Amino acid sequence: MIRVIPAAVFFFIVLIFWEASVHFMNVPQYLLPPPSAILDRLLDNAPHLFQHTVITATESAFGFLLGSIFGFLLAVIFIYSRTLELGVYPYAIALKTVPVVAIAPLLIVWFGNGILPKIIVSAIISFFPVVVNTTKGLRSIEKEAFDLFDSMSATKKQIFFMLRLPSSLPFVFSALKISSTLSVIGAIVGEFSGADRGLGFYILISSHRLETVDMFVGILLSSLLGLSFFYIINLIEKLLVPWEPEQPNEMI
Amino acid sequence: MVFLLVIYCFILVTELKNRWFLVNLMDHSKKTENYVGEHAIKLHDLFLSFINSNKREPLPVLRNISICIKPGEIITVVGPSGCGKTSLLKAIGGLFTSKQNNVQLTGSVHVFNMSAQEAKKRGVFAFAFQNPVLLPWRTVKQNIELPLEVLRKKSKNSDNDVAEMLSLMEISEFSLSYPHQLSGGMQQRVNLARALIQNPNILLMDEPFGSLDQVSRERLNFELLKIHGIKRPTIIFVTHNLTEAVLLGDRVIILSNRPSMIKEEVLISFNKARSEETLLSKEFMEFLHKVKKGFLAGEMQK
Repeated sequence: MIRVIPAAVFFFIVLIFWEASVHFMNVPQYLLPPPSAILDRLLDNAPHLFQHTVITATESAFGFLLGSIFGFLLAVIFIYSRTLELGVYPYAIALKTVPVVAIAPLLIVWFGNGILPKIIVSAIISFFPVVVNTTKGLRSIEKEAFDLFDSMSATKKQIFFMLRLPSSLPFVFSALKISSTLSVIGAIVGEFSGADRGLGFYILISSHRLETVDMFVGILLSSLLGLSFFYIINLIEKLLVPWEPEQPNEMI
Repeated sequence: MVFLLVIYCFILVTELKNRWFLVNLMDHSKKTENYVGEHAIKLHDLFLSFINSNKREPLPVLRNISICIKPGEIITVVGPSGCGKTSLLKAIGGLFTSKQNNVQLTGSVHVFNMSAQEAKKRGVFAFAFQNPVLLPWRTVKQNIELPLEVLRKKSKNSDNDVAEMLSLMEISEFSLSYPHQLSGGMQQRVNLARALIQNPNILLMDEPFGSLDQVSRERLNFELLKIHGIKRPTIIFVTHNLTEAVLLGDRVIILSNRPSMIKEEVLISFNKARSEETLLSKEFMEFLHKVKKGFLAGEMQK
């Protein structure tokens, strides 16, 4: 708990500084609203905002699940088939180099204005870190460990479930933590390209109306969404990977 | 994506089929038996080379290795680093399969009149490597149970065996610790316990105490002798420490530089049972000197 205190103190210092400078320098609200105005709007509009947040959360969660599951399965296939790996891996990487912002409008054309194209954008963006890290994790095994299992005549299934899978878990979770926040970005980008609800839609509409306060509310909620996804995965990791000594969170 | 799904299903189905076949095969083969015979291990004219795909010439590692080992004997193997001691152990333990095309193995390996692979399948061997390769997600107790789970021998009775093994190796108080919480010496005790729980006829040890300080090493040497006294497995023990080789071995095999052959074989026997005092005795020094002379013999010519 003590480790959180400096961060909290810093946060409040920034808020106070922000609030004070807006008041003393008479900054107009459409340029930079004070934190108090943002908080007011958030509370006033809570039920309405909650609906938008739920939509975006659903899109990100499904996108995250879909992307991670596909990423994981593909990594498992790569481990067992060198040919497939050589054939498909380059395209998995190529998918990463295509900007999602560029694909999103196309997906809207294909799948309409509903929730599906956002899920797909979110899945595409979550997919990449999981494939790369899981492949790495499933491979990061000492040669002697294979000799050990070989000396016991372990079956392929046993080697996978007793050796490869558990040793890949720390890698998988560091990928999931990255993907969890990326998936929210994917959903918002999807909503920018065409939607009638969700936080991305809310931010875009507010921008057109020059409602800067509303934009800040949208930004705040979407980052809170990403953060809560991140901490949920972090919690699951603590439960499933209790043996791993505390490690710094890596971010791409 | 549909394409990938189809591929995945296909792989799953083939895998399931294989597994079914393997399970049927395993049930017959994995039973503990006590093998008897004049020779636990019999190597005849063993040649081993590694085939490097970049170079045309295979790299010879072992040549002309012939040796007979009686059940219950402790053989220690010494030789210059990189001479193929580990490869010898792997060849005996059946870890080089015919499927691996980067290894060329000729000559014969007989283990209780079986091929090395056959013996491996029947659970004759247990390995202890220099790197303890404890699985970090398993506690000490779970690590020791690993072979029982792999060989599907885990039962209520085996719980007692594990507890017994923990106390024999004096690691009971750490049974719930994770490997990263243990010192190197403790990790090696777990490594040894994991090998011994399999109740192997033959214990293949590849410099298991190589990274330990001298005090821990000696203590574990005596533990090993104590356990050997109880269970009498055949032990092949690779080491680069000559003192250890003389202290443990009934015979010390000295290998030459690569491609290695057996340079000399020194028979070791003491008047009394081996103990701390043995290390200080005159006969021990004489054996040590003899082994050292044999070890250095080839080097001098260079």
